[in-house]
Amino acid sequence: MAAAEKTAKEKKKKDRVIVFSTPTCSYCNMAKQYFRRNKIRFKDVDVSKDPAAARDLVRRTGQMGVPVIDINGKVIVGFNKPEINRLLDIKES
Amino acid sequence: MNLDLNFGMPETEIDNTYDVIIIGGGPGGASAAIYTARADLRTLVIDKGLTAGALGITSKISNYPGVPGPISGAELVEIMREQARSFGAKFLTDKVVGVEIGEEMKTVIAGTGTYFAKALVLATGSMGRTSTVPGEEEFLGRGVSYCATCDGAFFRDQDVVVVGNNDEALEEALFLTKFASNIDLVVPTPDLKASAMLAEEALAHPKIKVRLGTRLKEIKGNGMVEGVHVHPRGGDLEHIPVRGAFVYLQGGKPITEYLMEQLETTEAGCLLVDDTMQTTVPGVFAIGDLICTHIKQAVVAASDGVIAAVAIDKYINGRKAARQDWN
Repeated sequence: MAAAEKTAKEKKKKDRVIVFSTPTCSYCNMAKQYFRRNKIRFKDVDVSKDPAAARDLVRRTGQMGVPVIDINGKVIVGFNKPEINRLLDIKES
Repeated sequence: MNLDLNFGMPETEIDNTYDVIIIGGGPGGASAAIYTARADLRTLVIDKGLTAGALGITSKISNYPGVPGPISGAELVEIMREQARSFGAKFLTDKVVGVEIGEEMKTVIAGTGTYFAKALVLATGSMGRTSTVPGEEEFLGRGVSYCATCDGAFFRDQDVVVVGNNDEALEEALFLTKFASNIDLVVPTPDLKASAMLAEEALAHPKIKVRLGTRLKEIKGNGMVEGVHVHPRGGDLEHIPVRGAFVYLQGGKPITEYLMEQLETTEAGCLLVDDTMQTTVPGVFAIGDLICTHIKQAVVAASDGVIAAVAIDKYINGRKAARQDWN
């Protein structure tokens, strides 16, 4: 049990989560709150302040909308909770 | 030593905590707010705008008992809201994007912030869209958006259209003026159904071109949106070259997206409640056009609001029997 817990903790540390957002995007805030509540560390990229990041996001994902969440290279469009839970192994009570 | 007298909640969360949050400020929500506020329950109503709902967009109403009229639906809703405010209910113009109802303390996530309450009243009505135009689903996220405050930044120095006729459409169009070069406001009705102040601001803005009586027919593009086809009443089909299309149209479906499937709905998308308006989740109530079981009229929604409010008073205060508010 201890070994499994340790592995889970190590995995959480290694998960790379990036949230592409804008400050006035309430769905983005919902996603970020969800990560905070589940103690998932993430990087927040504000595409409204960074036009290069916005262009890069469109180029990489084809999406002209936020939130876009990158979890270990897998792109999720919108606050897709089931997919986020699956990729980050979050079990909601 | 750090004494946490907020019991673990950050300071802002104390101010954002209520006894009851009512989502939707039409006749159902406003009526519930009158009764919960009078029962000394700290009440917050979160509403998208006066003209977002079925009553709000009604131009003339003459059959509301006690109000001979004719009076506009928006005026009638405002009377109800003012009455609720007079008893201490707080109203916030905002859009609820999500809720969490699994815990005893419910969470409501809106554009301006996160709010908490012991009980919720869902009064969001049934003005949800039932169908999309050709190209809309194909280009969703590729130029089509339902949220300018989310996605406006992607359209810096571009031409866009905003489709809609109510407060929400106008607010979003005005927000887009920060980014877009030109905004064509495609209004399906002969007139705008928005507050006079917003309408004036939009009509006067140099970046916004208002096209009344014009319907969105199709969204065109190649990988990304490149334009829209619109049909002005009495005119020919027109093509407007744009990179973005922000759509705020309405229909007749119950509005339940913010519930994120935490409550079961019928095939028609309606919520199920018992005879006290409570859903299957304790502390969560649903009223008015959302429950679809009876006649869709303002006075019926108002009546539902009262039933829910009385049940909430009983629920929160642990009463054995419902307490009547006689006058």
